[in-house]
Amino acid sequence: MQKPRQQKRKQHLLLLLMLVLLLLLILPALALGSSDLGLREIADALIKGDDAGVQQIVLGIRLPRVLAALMAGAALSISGAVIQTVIRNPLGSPYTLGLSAASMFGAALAIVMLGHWARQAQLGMLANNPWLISASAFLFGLLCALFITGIARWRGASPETLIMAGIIISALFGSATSLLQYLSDDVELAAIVSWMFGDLGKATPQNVRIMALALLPALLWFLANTFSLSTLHAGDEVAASLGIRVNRLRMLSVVVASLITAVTVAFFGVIAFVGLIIPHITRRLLGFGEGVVLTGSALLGALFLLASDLLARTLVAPVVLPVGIITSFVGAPFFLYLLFHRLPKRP
Amino acid sequence: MSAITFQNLSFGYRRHHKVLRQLNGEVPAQKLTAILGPNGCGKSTLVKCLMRLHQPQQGEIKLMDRALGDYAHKELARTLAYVAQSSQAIFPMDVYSTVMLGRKPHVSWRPGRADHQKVRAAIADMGLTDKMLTLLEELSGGEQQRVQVARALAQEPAVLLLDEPTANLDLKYQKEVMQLLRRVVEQGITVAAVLHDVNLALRYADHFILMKQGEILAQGGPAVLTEKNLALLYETPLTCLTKDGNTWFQAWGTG
Repeated sequence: MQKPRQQKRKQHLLLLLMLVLLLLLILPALALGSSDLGLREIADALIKGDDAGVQQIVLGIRLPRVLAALMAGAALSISGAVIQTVIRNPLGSPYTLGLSAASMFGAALAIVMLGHWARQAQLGMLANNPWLISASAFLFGLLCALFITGIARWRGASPETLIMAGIIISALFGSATSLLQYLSDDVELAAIVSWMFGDLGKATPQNVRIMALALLPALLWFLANTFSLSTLHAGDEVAASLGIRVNRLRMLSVVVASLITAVTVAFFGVIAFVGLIIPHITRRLLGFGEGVVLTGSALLGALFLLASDLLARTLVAPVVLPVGIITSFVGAPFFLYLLFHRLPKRP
Repeated sequence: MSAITFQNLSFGYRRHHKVLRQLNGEVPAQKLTAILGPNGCGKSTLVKCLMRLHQPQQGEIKLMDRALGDYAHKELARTLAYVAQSSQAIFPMDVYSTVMLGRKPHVSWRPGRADHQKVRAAIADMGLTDKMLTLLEELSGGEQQRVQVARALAQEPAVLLLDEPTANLDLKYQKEVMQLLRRVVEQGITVAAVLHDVNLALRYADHFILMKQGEILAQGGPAVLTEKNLALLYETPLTCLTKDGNTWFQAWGTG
């Protein structure tokens, strides 16, 4: 929504600043790694393609990782922002709705059950296959989203119903994952634990392309519906009186937000707190208006995850930490801070 | 002429428990209608049925001589505006953003220049220009109600329905809100409000709907506000007092 000029200008300046910081951070993210590359070498590899080895490192490994950080950060943050709005709950996020737990269970199930079956059927290539694990995580994430929206429709889609359904689903899938861990052998247990840490090291050009295909239409759909989403802030009855089909908008928003989160979890595992804290920080920085909050969340989420990944790669180099550990260490205290300083500041 | 009419209107949240029972009534055009009655008599439920927020199980509602069900969502929102009893935003919003929501029925994607002008006009009309960028939670109760009315007026409706607009307000703000609603009526808009204070209704409203246990006890002009009707309505004796040409009802000291 357009605001009085001065406030709007401040919001635009902050968005521009986020974009500039993001672009500035991409260069060191491409340069840093086990092979030290200069900015000139990276530019040559990207533009001229002189050195096949450098080109392979940049285009095959580092660029997918950077793009994965940008898209995963944006996807999780947008999901969080939208879910907080549609269920009118500041603690709302794809994780609160149980999607993360469901996707995690899907991954664990694929690791343990498919692993057993593949070994018995002499199909070793299917055991611990990242595609099967990702597909299973995605499938259960999707089932969770459909289940939640089904319950919500049946019970009238109230915010309380959605959160309660999310808590129940998280508990259920959490227990099921624990059971799988208990039943699994050492190798499977290690694989499950590895999946539980969100890790951008799994990024490949292919899964980055798939993520882009899911994220871009979702982002466009959300941006096209920012004004409708804004009306939900006034409450369901007022939104309905403004001509909004509240339940339909809420259902569609939850499904689309859940889907882009499920794609992220399926490819990179559980990256905690991004979807919860980034929308809050964005609202504190930029103020209100769903269009500004969604755009800001996408930029800030991308910036946050890229910076976290940079930290994960350099903190105890040459060991690369899973980015999920960094986001949890940064996110948990920040979320506590937000809880105690809830009142947003004006831009 | 009636802005809204309803006939044989029945509604219940549960199948065998009717909150509204076979109601027949009207909201006269370009007048201020007060819907009065004790707690739980179905006043708010009636307003929500008139807003199409609830689907009646029986009966017919007509808005501007057209069946309410025939209106498309946006068309209805351009005709009928609603101010809820409480509208607590989860994330803080300022006055301008809140009033801008009222333009939604007229906008498909994002508001244009004309929408911004109408929002500014609605804010100015409510005397809130200097608080355009103030957070709602920083405003007084009366100012917050003015913002909600400004949001509803930004919808450019023909009819405005309000659910207890004076609830939780002190005397000064109750008076302020009712004076505001009178100004809205003078602009040619039909207003119907659920009210609890009989004297406030008597002072500012033109038409009265008295509800008890899901039924309409009486409706019409100020003449329906009699000691007998009000005693029946609230199950307590009331005395009608007159001084210097002003009339009011008193429940205290009458037994």
